[in-house]
Amino acid sequence: MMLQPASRISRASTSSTSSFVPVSRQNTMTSNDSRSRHSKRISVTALYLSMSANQKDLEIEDDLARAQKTLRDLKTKISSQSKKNFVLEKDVRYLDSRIALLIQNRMALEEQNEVASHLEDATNLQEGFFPNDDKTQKYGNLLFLLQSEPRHIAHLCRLVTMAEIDSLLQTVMFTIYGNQYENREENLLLTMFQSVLTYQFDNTPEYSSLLRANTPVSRMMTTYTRRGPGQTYLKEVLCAQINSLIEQQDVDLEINPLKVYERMVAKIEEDTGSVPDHLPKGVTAEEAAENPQVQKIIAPRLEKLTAWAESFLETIINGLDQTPYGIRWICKQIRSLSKRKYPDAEDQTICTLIGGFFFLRFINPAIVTPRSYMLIDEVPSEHPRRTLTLIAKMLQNLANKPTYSKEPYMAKLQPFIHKNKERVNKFMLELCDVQDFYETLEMDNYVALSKKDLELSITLNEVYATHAMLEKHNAELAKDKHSHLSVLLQELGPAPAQLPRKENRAINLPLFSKWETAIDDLTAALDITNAEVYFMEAKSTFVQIMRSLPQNSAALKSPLRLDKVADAAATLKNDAVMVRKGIRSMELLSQLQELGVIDKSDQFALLLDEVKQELAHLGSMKENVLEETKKLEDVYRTIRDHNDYLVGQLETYKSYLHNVRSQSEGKQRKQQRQQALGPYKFTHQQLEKEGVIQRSNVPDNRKANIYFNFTSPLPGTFVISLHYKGRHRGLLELDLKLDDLLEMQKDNQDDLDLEYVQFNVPKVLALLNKRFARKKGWTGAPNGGVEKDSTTSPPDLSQEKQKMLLAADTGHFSMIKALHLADLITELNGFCGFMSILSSMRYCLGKPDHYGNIWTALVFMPFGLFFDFMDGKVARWRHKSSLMGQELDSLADLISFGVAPAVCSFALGLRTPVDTLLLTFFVLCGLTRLARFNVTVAALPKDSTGKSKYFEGTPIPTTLGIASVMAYWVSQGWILDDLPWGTWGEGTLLEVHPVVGLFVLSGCAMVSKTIHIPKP
Amino acid sequence: MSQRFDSTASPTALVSGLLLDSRREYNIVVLGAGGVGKSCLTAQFVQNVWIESYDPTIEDSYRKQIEVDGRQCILEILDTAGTEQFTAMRELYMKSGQGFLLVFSITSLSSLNELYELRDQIVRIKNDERVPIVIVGNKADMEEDRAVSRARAFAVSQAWGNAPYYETSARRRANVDEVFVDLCKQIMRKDSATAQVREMESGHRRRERPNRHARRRRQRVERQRCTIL
Repeated sequence: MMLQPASRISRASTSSTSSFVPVSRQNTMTSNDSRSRHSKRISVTALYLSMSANQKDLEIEDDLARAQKTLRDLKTKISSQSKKNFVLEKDVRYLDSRIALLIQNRMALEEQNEVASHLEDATNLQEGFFPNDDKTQKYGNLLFLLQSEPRHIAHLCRLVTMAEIDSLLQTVMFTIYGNQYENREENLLLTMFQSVLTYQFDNTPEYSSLLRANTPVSRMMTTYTRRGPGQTYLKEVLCAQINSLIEQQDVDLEINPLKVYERMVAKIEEDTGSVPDHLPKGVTAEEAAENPQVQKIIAPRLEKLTAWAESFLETIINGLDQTPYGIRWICKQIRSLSKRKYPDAEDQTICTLIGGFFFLRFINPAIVTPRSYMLIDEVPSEHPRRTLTLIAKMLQNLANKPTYSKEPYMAKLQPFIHKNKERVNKFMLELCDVQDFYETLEMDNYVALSKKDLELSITLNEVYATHAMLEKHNAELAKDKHSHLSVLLQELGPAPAQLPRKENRAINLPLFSKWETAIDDLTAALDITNAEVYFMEAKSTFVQIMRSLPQNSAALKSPLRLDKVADAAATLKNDAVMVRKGIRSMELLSQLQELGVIDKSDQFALLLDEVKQELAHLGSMKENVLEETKKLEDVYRTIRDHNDYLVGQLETYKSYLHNVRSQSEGKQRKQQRQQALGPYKFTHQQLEKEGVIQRSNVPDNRKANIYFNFTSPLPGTFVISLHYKGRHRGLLELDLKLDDLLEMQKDNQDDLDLEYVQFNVPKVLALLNKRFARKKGWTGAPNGGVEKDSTTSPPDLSQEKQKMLLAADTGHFSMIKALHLADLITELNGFCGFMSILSSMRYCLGKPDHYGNIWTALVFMPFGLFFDFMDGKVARWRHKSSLMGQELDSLADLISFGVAPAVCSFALGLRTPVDTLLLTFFVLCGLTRLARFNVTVAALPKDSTGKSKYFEGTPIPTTLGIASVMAYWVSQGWILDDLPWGTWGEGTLLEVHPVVGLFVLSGCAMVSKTIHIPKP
Repeated sequence: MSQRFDSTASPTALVSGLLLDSRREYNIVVLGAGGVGKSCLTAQFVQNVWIESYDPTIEDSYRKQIEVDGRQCILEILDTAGTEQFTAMRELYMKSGQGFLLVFSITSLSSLNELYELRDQIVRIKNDERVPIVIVGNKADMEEDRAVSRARAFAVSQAWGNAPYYETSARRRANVDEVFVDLCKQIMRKDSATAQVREMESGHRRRERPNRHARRRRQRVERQRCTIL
């Protein structure tokens, strides 16, 4: 979706230049003087290369280039996936609250409909076009303005209400500045942050309330930390620590004396059955804290807690260089803004404010609720959760001046604060130590202007919502009637209403400025001399040549000489591109010499040094690129997992809502006939593998004999029964309602107890959902955009309907009604098969040299194959799988690909008794093959994870191979007495044509269990 | 089934259930936007101190014994994070709380607006329109910066079933005790009302309200456990 703009721009500014750009703006660059002096040169380089990037022949094909491309693709994917997740999360949040009301039966029917419409078609957005060319242009102008002049959005952020902010931020963070790894957009976004922050500093009366309230700014910060780089950081820095902590489920590190006392008393009561008199209930905090036993319990816990907190702190401080540039830059802004406002502020005060962003809004929320930050899968159990909270409190105390007037017991942790206070302050000041990007941003903006194909992938509703918001706050935003924004808004007129979700489209909006024309000559626009441009070109050309030359080339041997390198390239055989580059580099060398920049007498030392540096830098860069790719892959996986979870959640809500609605409809009309679904059988092993069984008391040697049946007698009601092989009756049966499961999930109650095994509630929900969804289209592409395997589809509504129609005992031809379009096509397959047989027979009746009939017989077979393929396609297209279809398919296949080829070969001359016997064998093999297929399909019918990836034995349509061989014989006239390889045992009873062996082989292959043919 | 679900209830809940018989203990949760003065209010009430410093809360808990209507009660007060990034923790607080202080700052209209969402969530989780709630407009000493008129706050109070509204100043310790006492009275009233209903229904019922899980879930268990395992 968002690929186009990303790839186009990034080709310009990242592909061949990424060697330069990171230098000027990644986290590693602290304010380093020598570097900042270089920065102009660096940006000129970036500029130069971006200008020439559209020359295809500059692209180099080496490992580095490939690694960079992979990384780039990955970044694009993360950008677009994190947007999808953001939207999904919003949906799930909305539905979370609605569904809770529904469960409590407190939702009116109209509201149910509204929720349903929210769920409907939340599926993949379709691509589309803007309805109107004129509008396209105007909106293109508007969005270009918004993107390149962040102050407008910054202003808007201050005006909108908290209710509007979410949709605005979605558009801003994930669309307008959606390329999270693209310098220009990131920098513009940060500029917007700066402007909003400045406003907040200027308008907050006292320092103690700075950044405290929940404002659009704080929401922006939250959303910002959710972008790819923030996620990567949290995962890398915190994940391992948190995981090792929550593994220790039973370690209680509570240090609140009251709680400790209570638990202690409860434990004594439980053990001895009574409470000693010296331990009264309901003591005060002071009494509890003075109790020696309590003190004895707390003392070691304090040590452990401190150790944990220190290890967290350690990783955070060590992660300084991994901290995303944007986060650090915001810290820097907070520092400089507070210095500006309070010139006398001490470092401690400033650190408190930085801590109020970095720890309070970024690190600590992730520590306290790691699940919502995708760091772990399950909600941690009680003790680890409390430990995490305590650690977060300790870290927060480090950032602020703790007074301990709140919770006195926290004062016990004072040593930790004293020990680390200095360290943390130093760390926070170091966080701020990053370079600004204004210079590169200016350059990037010029580059953007020079691009003629800047595009933004956006949805129509996002465009309209942004327009509506601008319109609403027009009076404030565009006070000056002649400002660019105001002019554009006037031209656009009133904002269109939001489209229904179904009609919403993703579009690619070309962006361009209404006022500035694209810059063709960048050297004129920027203050760069020709010499500088030549120098850069020479440098990059040499680097490219040296990356492309064969490693063993003599020119690369040291001492390196540029003229030799140029010469080697210019005389390279069979590579016109290199030759051109070689010649160009020679020209550049002489031009630069004329300009007096370099000197041949010192071997062009100036240029040579830079080229060498660059190559050395590139060498280490490949490793870095690979490493970064690895990390980002991890992040991408996490984001996708989260997406799966969200999609699953939505699916569950959908089915629940559907059930509720169909039940209430049923009450109004006459009760619909409901078919029981299932039972679906699952083995213990299967469920354990999928994580549905989270604990099992079944001994390993019994596991193979245990299986479960899942049935749904009514929508929304499920029966799970546990069976032991060989016993007819279930050992255990459990009735479940979807409501209850959802409620348990809401309560974070993950255990579903089946006596011998414990099920995991979310996994059970997912399973039921997959298997029993009753409405058509539910299992289609989920709206998260993550492709799911749709090879197997659960029984859907149409299947049930068909079953019902077939079972109905009214009407002579009611069966016809039950046939689907796909079934009719299958019948055509059977028709072709039988027509082929009849044609073969007609040939036998006619003269042996009249080939017409035998040709017809052969031609019908591929037609059969055609229909065989088509029925599946049609069924999938119409979303109607049919029970009858399965059976019909096999039966028709037997005629078309089993009997018909055999009869045809009989007609062609395989007519001896042994021949016919062997042909019969072949047909029986086909028969067996098809029967087995039906059985195996039914046995693992809609198992979407364990789906069969291959056919066991060759599928029967492979016999068409023999048919084509036969066709060849017919065309050569090798039939009847002239069959290839003649006859064996002529005249005897065992007279046989050896070619019949083809059929025997094919038959054997069909029934083989070991031949696995991958499914197409 | 009902048996099993009860057994998963946390031991602390059982303990507090037992305690309730002897001594009255109530869970109060203080909620509200960031920087409105929840911690200051709580610290004033519990410890009679005024916190000057900038010290955002993540989660603090306190206990205080007070006398209301001649009865001793113990208040378990949970002071929560107002910072929006911690919203994921809220649900848990709301489940455990019996009464809620919804605090906003009279100097910030948006802090009042944030209470709507909180109240909705409480009602939803408690499944009770009449949860004991007190609306608190803090920072009353900053009258010159007032951004929320009394009329507006009263309108909110009316919309929420006449939940009492107080204007407090944690700095001057004005109305601080009253807020907590009012909430405590509400909880006690509710407590005795449900107790009466319970007595009317039957003598033997457990303290907690009937478990919905138990009501909805039927289980057909054929216990033949000896056979295989």
